[in-house]
Amino acid sequence: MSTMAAKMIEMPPNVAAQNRARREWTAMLGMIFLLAAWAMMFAALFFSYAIVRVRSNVWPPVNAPEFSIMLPAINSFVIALSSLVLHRGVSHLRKEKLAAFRNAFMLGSVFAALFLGLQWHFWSALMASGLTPDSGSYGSIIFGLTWVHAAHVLIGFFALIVLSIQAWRQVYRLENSITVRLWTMYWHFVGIVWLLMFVTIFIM
Amino acid sequence: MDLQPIHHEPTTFVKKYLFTTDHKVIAKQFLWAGLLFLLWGGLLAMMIRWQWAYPGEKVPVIGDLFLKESGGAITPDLYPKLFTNHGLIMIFWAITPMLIGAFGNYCIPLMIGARDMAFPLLNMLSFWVFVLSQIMVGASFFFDNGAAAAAWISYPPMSGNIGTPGHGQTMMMAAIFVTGVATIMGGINYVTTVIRFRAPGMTWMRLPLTVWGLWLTSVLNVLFVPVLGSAGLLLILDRMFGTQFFVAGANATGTGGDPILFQHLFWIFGHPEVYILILPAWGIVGDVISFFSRKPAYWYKGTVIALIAVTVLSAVVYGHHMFMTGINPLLGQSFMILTLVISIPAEVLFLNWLHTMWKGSIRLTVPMIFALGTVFVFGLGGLTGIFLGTISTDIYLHDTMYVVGHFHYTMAAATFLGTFCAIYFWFPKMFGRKMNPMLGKLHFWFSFIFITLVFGGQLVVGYAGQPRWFFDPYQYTFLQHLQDANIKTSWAAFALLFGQVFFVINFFKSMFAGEEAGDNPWEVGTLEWTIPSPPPVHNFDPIPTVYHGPHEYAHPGVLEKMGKDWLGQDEAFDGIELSASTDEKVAQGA
Ligand SMILES: [Cu+2]
Repeated sequence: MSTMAAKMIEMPPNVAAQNRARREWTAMLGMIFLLAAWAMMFAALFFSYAIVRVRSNVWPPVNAPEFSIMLPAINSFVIALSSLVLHRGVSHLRKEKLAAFRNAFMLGSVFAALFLGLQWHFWSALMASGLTPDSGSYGSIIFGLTWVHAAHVLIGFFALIVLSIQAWRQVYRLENSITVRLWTMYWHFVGIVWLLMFVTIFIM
Repeated sequence: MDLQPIHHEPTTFVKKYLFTTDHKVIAKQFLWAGLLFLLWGGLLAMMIRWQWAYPGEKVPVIGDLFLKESGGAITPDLYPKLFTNHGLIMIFWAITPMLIGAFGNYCIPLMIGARDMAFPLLNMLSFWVFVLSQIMVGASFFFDNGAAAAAWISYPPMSGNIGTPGHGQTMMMAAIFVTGVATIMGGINYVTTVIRFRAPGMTWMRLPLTVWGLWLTSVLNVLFVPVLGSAGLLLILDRMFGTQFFVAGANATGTGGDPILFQHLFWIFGHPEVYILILPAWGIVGDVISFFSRKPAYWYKGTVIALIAVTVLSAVVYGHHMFMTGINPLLGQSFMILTLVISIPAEVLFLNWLHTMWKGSIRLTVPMIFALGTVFVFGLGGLTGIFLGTISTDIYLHDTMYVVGHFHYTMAAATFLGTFCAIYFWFPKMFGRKMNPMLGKLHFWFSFIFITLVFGGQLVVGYAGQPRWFFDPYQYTFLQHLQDANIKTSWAAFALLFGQVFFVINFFKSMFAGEEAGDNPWEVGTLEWTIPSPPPVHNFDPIPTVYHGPHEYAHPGVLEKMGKDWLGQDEAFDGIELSASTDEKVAQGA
């Protein structure tokens, strides 16, 4: 690393910046393909929902218990807010306002935990109202899709915790901000998938 | 700072051979892992062939070793486990790691002039995740009720808790998911590397066809393996957590889901998978035929366009696997037409290969004959596929051995011969030594003749009405007269296995005692042959500049000035843009 840093100093700053931009673009491209793969996975889940839905002449199925969509609605708000906070955090990092960046990512982690907690609550409430994973395709879709989504939120949550700790130790600056930006991209993606789920499963 | 820094060669055994980030070593790791599972999948195939020839009789050798409880015979309980694991192992743990894992890793950076993959650490992770999935496959055999038994397609209700109780089937679905993760990791790496790490001058239209094939395969992998992942995940949820996605019932009354849903998800992935497996082989064959015909690949651009067209079309034809599921006839016809349209780009590929050889100075080296064998068997596979893609004939042929013969020609025979074409061609680069051509030719003729006969035999009995997956077809009087044909086919399969002995001897002998290969034993112009065999850790020093396409052969000016009939991609030649001139000649119909 030290020899690399020495080389950086010898180099005219614009060349170093250009090379950094190139490396970041490579990493970004990898992330884009990763998200494309993940998008296809969720597309397959939405496709499954669509097939089940168009093959059923009543939806929700008869006898399906009523439940409140209050918690998912709040959660949509929570995850949108968290994305906004992380977005702000990244722009703080770009300006190297390290304290503001750290605070934003800590707040983001709290929101992520809140989302997972509310999801847990929502699943318990559903089961209490009589809708379980084995309540036919209806229960399967609601539980199965939100489970898979929550697993991705969980991965993001752990990443945010690690990033927050690193931010606390002032690991990140503008020149190595790419890691932070890529995880933020991931988080936005998870948020978008949730909003799609909320609209298609709970509202439509 | 250099964008592709030179890493020092690791000194410890663990870092050099196990947890390595060197794409060339990872390639060899994938090759070993794939060859091992090819042997396993092959032995399972031999047991299936034994069952179809001599049902109920004691299996030689294997029966004594593993089937003591049944007196050496294959039981009705064991039989579905054999064909299920044969199919899955061959596809996900033998062909995929060899064609894509090994040669994707080996060829992409070397052929585009890069020092390594874009994400070396991800590359290492991809291999070890793959190994984990292999361990899971092995473990699936040791649960109560044994290994997976719902056929490679794993349709519910057969793959549900009632069809295949026990954790073996669940473990297999999880293993498929995990190997899918490894494949996607590799795919992301390959796609990004080709986009970002091409050497100066290596334009898209100067890429070797091998790289084109691998790149398109990787795009398909990144986009469609996740769909299989979803299908597997939902199936695991059904088996373990009580959901009812694929449990037959009525959606409207909340009493169940839809088993057909699995078929949709499976084939949205499954059809592209056929092309995922064959595209690298097509690319390799396209290069090798040009190399050993000592002529530029005929209409390179057309070949590339055809490869892209096949890739795109492969994503929109999956319904041809579901003609018998009560699909809307209008939808069925659309899928039929799209399917048949694939034969147009496929024709372009075949004609370009033939045209490349036309009037060439053909050198019948071992990789060349394997390439020609690949073309031949894929031709058979393609032609027999037309009758399955057409609804009216599919109704009769559906679920017969004809289907088995067809997809084995495309997915098994063509990829098998294509993989060996690649092994014989790049072995000198990988290990620095030449393989023995005599043993190679023996291996080829055994493999080529008997693989053609094995799957041809399946086509014939299938056309005569033998359904696939039958434990003992001769319980049915209308199939008894087919036993003779099945016995002959089985003996062709045993001869095919025997022929592999030549390869094993050749492979190990050449690795340690083969003739030194030198940098460029085949006298070809792609970048990997401009560096020592085997290449140093950082491949290129410095990174080469590329002046023209990968197939510059038999150019009269080059012959006159340089005394050789080929030109390296990094050799400038009087500033003449050779690729352009070749393309012009094609345009003029020369
Ligand atoms: Cu198909």
